[in-house]
This record gives sequence, structure tokens and C-alpha cells, in this order.
Amino acid sequence: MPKIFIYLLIIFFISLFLVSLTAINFWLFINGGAKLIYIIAVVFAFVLFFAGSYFFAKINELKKEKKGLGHLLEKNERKFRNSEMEKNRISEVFTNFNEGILVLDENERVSAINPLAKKILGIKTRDIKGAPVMDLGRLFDVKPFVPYFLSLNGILKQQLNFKNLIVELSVIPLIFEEKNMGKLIILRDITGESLLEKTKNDFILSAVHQLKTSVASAKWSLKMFLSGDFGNINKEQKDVIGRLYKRNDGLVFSINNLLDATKIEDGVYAYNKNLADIQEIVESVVLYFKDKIKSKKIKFEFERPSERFPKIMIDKEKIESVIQNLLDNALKYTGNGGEIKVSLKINDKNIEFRIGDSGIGIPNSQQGKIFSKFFRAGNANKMEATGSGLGLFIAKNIIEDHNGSIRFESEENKGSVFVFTLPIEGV
Amino acid sequence: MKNILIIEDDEFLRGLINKKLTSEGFNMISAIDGEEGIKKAKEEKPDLILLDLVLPNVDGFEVLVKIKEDPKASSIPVIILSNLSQKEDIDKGMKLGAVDYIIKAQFTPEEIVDKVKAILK
Repeated sequence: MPKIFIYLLIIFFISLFLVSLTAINFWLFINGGAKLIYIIAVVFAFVLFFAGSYFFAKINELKKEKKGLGHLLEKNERKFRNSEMEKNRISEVFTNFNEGILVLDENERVSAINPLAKKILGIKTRDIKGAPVMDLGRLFDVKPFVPYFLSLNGILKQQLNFKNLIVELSVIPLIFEEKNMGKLIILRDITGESLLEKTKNDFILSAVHQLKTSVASAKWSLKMFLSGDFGNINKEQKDVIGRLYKRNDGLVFSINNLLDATKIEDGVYAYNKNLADIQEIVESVVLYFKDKIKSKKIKFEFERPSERFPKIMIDKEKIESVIQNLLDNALKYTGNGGEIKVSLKINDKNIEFRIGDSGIGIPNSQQGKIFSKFFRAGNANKMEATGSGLGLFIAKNIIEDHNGSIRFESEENKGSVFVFTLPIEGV
Repeated sequence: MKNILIIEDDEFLRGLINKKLTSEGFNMISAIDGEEGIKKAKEEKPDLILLDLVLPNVDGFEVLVKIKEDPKASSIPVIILSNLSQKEDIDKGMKLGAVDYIIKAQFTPEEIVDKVKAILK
């Protein structure tokens, strides 16, 4: 039973006792049995009791309130301490972050800058908080950056040469509930990385060049044997040299593919994305294979889009390599006189590249493995021994790294259609 | 008889092309590095130059610049014959005034002969 009821019960009984006492006294008084002073005393006791009870209740109430307030105060204090800690933590992260960070407020003023950003920009002054970003270009030697800082749209990983540094710059507009809250600017010093990348690329390019020189000398000599430049050769010699010639030809492609696959495996496949016209890339690949298309008497069609597509952010060379691999496959696995059709179109918010052939197709049972590294379908192996099984593996990796997707439909002995899509925005 | 200057440091490749083009009735002049190439381009005034890019000392791009600078040699058509297949290299070569760019590993001697004949026609 709650305490309050006990209190009420006690008060009730005391009141009952006092009321009956008053009544008895009053009765005695009327009958002349009691003095007036008794009644006054009883009434006084009555009033005292109720006043006492009232004050007692009030004090209790106040006590409770005080306790509640204290609790609230403590809670607030804890919250405050937590937020202070959070603030310190963010400030520590901000100060020690391994990338330069500059935060602008909605009026293009510097709201925060971390030491690394200052170091990259060469700003030695201790405090530039509140300085309009326009003034930075005037006060410090950071002119090349200012237009980027002021750009209205976001910028993603733009490379800038600045003094002796190569800086990668990203500008991210801060929007909160549709309100402009300023910008977050991230600066990365990638000088060391770029240098390493260059050394590595130079090494790879020189290795590739040497390999290709050997391939070229074999190609030319074998072809000249076949053409009779070194005298007549018999049928068997011709056959062997002819096979050797074809195999050697496949090497050029394999050299490039193997290199790409190695890089994908190492996770160091660097993308150099810029705005590029995809139709231009397709045209150049078609040109590259022109002779092969002609020599196999392929009925080739490139269905050009009726209007020019917007340029999209892609690594041109990598996408070119994807299209090259797809067209190379189509040519390899389509017999003489077959058909190949290439088309480009816009599908929703994507650009869609499609290549269909009337070739040998992919057997149903092996379709699941077609994008695996080094996998080659049985019928493909029979038709053309020189494939590396890397082309589609590379193609899938490249397209997915561009936020696109690649798929195919195929029926054995009827042909294959490969389709990839690339988003127009946000690649 | 038309004269063709080939500037190529690889003796084997040079020998193959020389043999092929000689059998097609051209007179071949050889240079084994960039300096010799520039000198022979100016002195022998060939009808066409086949130019490799990766050469010791003076590279092919520089040779091309020097040939195009020389008033007597600048009109000689130059075909670049190289294994550099990066787009930048191809663009650079064409910009510097080459008439064609042949990637060695992707063309046969016959195709090279065809290109030479087409340009000299």
C-alpha cells in the first residue's frame, strides 16, 4: 500500500478525533459542563494540526523538486563533459589527420584549417580563421587553388602541380537540410606516390617495349618466310611457320593483358579518370582492328548514336582496353564471313555499349566461369589456342571500378552478345 | 629508283625491312642512331624516311624535329616505325609532322611496303 494512503488515513483519524473532541466540548459547553477556553484550545489544536500538515506536505514537495533539479543538473553536466570530450576528440582527429583539411563557412570564410593543410599550402601564420578565402590568394602564395576553392560544385581528386608538390584536391559542398553550410576541402600531398608510380610505369613501359621488339622481329621474319622472301618453303614448313606466326601475334595482346591483370591483382591498378568521349574510343578501337575485320571478311557494323553523348569521367586507356578485348574476342571466335555488330546508346542514366557476334558462343555449362581469371571455354580453346583467359577478367574489373556493370547472353554455335554500361554521372 | 632512309638501331629489324624493301625495288640507306639519321636525311635527301623512336643518344622525336626544321629536308615524308603504342606517343609523333605511325608488333613487312608505296605514289 502506498505511503500516501497511510498518511491520509492517519490524517483522517486525527481529524475525526479532533472533530469529535470539538463536538463533545461544544455539547458540554452548551450544557454548561465545559469552559469556553477548552473549545478555543481544541479549535486551536485543530488549526495547528492542519497548518502543520500543509507545511509538512509543502516541504516534502520542495524536497522532491530539489532532488529532481539536482538530478537534471548532474545529467546536464555529464552531457556537457561528454560533448567537451567529443569536441576534443574531433579536434585531435582534425589536427592529426593525415590529409590537409580546410573548412569554409557559408560565406566562403575559413572556418577551420588543420596543420597539414597549412603545410601543403605553405601558410605559416598561426591563425587565419575567419579570413575570406578570396584573400588567401592575395595574402599567401596559393593562387592556383583559389578558383577551385570557390567552385560551386564538388571536385573529386583533381591533381594540381603546386610549387614542387603534386597535390590532389577534393572539394565537397557541405549541405545540411538543403542549406548551404560551406565546404570541406581535402588536400593530399601525393608527390611521393606519383614519383613512385612514375618510376614503376617507366620500368613497365620499358619492359613492354623490349618484349614487343622481340615479338616484332619474330613477326616480321616469320611473315617473310611465309611470303617466300628467304626462298621457297614446302607445305609442312609453311604450315608450322604459319602457326608460329599466329601464336606470336597473340603475344602482343597477351603482353598488355598480363600486365593489366598483374596490376589488378596487386590492387595497384591506378585509374586516371578524365572526361572522355566514349564514341571516340570505340571509333579508335574499330580502326585498330580494321585490317583484321577485312582479312576475315566479317560483316561489321557500328551503329553510331544519332547525337553526341555527354563526356563521362573514365580512364580512357582502360576503357579502350575493355572495348579492345571485347572486339578481339568477337573477331577471334567468329568464323570467316560472320557478323559483328557494335552499338552505343543511352539507357536511363547510363551509356550502354553492346557488341554482338555470330560466333561459336559460350557453352551453357561454362557461362558461370567466363569472367574468371585464366578461364577459357572448351570450344574457344579448340578454335584459337592463343587466348590468355585474361581479357574478360580485366574487362569486368575495369568496368566495375567505374561503377558500371558488364553482362552477356550467349548460345553455343549461335553467337554472343556482351553489354557493359557506365553511369553518365558519378563514375 | 626511290631512296628510303631507315633510322633504326636494332640491326635485326633493320635487316629485315631492308631486305623486304630492296626486293620491292627501293634503294635503302641505313642509319643506326639519331645523329647519323639527321645527317643522312640532310645529305642524301631520301624520298622517304622510316624512323624508329627509341634510339640511343638522340631519340626519334628529336630527329623528327630536326628534320622538320631543316628547309631542305622538311618536305621528306617521315613514317614513324615504333613499338611505343601509348596514345600520347602517337599523338606527339603525328603533331611533330609524321605522315604515319606504324606500331611494329602490329604490322607485317607487306603492310609497311604498302604504306610506303601509297605515300610515294
